[in-house]
Amino acid sequence: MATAAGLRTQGLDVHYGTFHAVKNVSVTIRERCLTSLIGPSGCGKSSLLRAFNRMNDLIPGCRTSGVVEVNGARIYEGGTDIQALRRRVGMVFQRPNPFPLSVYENVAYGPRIHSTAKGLALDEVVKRCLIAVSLWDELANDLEQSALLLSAEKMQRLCIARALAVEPSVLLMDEPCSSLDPGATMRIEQLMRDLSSRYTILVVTHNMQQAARISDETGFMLLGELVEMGPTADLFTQPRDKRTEDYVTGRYG
Amino acid sequence: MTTLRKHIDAHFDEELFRVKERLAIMGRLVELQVRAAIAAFLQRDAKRAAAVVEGDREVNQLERDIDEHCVRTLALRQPAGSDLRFVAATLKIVTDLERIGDLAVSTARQSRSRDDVSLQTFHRLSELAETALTTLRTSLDCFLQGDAARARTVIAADGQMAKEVAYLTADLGAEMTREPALVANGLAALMVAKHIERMFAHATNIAEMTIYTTSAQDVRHIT
Repeated sequence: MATAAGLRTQGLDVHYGTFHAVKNVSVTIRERCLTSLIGPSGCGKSSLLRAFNRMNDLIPGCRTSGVVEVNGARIYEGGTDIQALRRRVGMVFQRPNPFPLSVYENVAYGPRIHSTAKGLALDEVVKRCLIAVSLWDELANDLEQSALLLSAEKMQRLCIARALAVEPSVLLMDEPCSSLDPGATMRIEQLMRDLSSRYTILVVTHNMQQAARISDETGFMLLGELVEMGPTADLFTQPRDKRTEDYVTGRYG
Repeated sequence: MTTLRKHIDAHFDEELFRVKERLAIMGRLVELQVRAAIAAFLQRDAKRAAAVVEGDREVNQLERDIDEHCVRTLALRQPAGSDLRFVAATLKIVTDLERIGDLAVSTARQSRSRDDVSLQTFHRLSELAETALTTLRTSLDCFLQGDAARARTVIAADGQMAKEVAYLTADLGAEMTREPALVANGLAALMVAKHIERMFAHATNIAEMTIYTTSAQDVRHIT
């Protein structure tokens, strides 16, 4: 399995045209920990998340400045191999988005296009990743079925398996449970906890209870600023900043 | 004093207000119970002592009500920050108030252990009880108003009660030594003094919980 990485920004700014989405954010995301970002809509948490695999580059008019490091490497400097970066920094989205392919092909897709495995070795990668997301026992004999026929929870597990198949060291998750029912949410949360011992995981969530349940550390963002970041238990029981206090107690707005 | 903004959901503010309202009622009831218990002891008034025992049911019922409110708030609101600290502190404070109520009952029951003869030191029990009750009232007001600065003054005066009880214990001992016939009454007074000392300790716990709720600072067991 891949080695874990830490994430770091120094003076990060993200603009969309004239809109200043992320304002001078300096943060360190600890290795092999699960870190959540919370905050109201439009506060910049997804923009910060997407800065770590340069997904913001795909948004027209987006400008990024400041330092962003993955595993100690500055990813906004010239010469950065974007494809290699996105292999190291996997991403899971709000809605499960499996390819319209079989279960096997979904997981094999990444290793195949990156030529990191083939033949029996590829079978092993698929098996290892499906075991990691607890789908192997159910789907081992049904790997050729269409991924689109799976339940929403299994689709999301499959998407996580697909991200793991290219051996990332970091997983970025943008509201990974928001389209799942409570039972599926709990099981995906457990999977995230399990994976956090091997991967650096950064999650954006609107669900404060989810952040409280699963995260080692939590950051609160407001109007593009990272207001406060610290151990989750501290942030929810004794926030340092009045703005965090107002948000976690439901006094924001 | 801490002034918090209102919650986005006004019902949550109302729920917390209702908890505060019940706590204030419970505090007032416990205060009346203690006052009645001391009077029952000093006047050897069996009827009043029985009323204190009976009144404890209401104290216990309030404890159950407030507990239930808090547990419901934890389950349904999943409070965080100062709201979580308020609910956690309330769960402790109701226990302190209920214990003071129990000590009032024990004090009232001591009226059966004494005879008609008064000791010279008896009047000091009233004074000690007033100190404990003033502390209780101040602590609870501080908690309900989020006044950490005033709560700190309560905690600062913490050692005084122990000294007063020690003086009283010594004087009671001297009285009993001089007049062995007073031993039964003296021992009953000693028990009451110890109950009052415990009441005072529970009252200062409430002041400590005020600081925890308003400042997220745990000042228990520091001195």
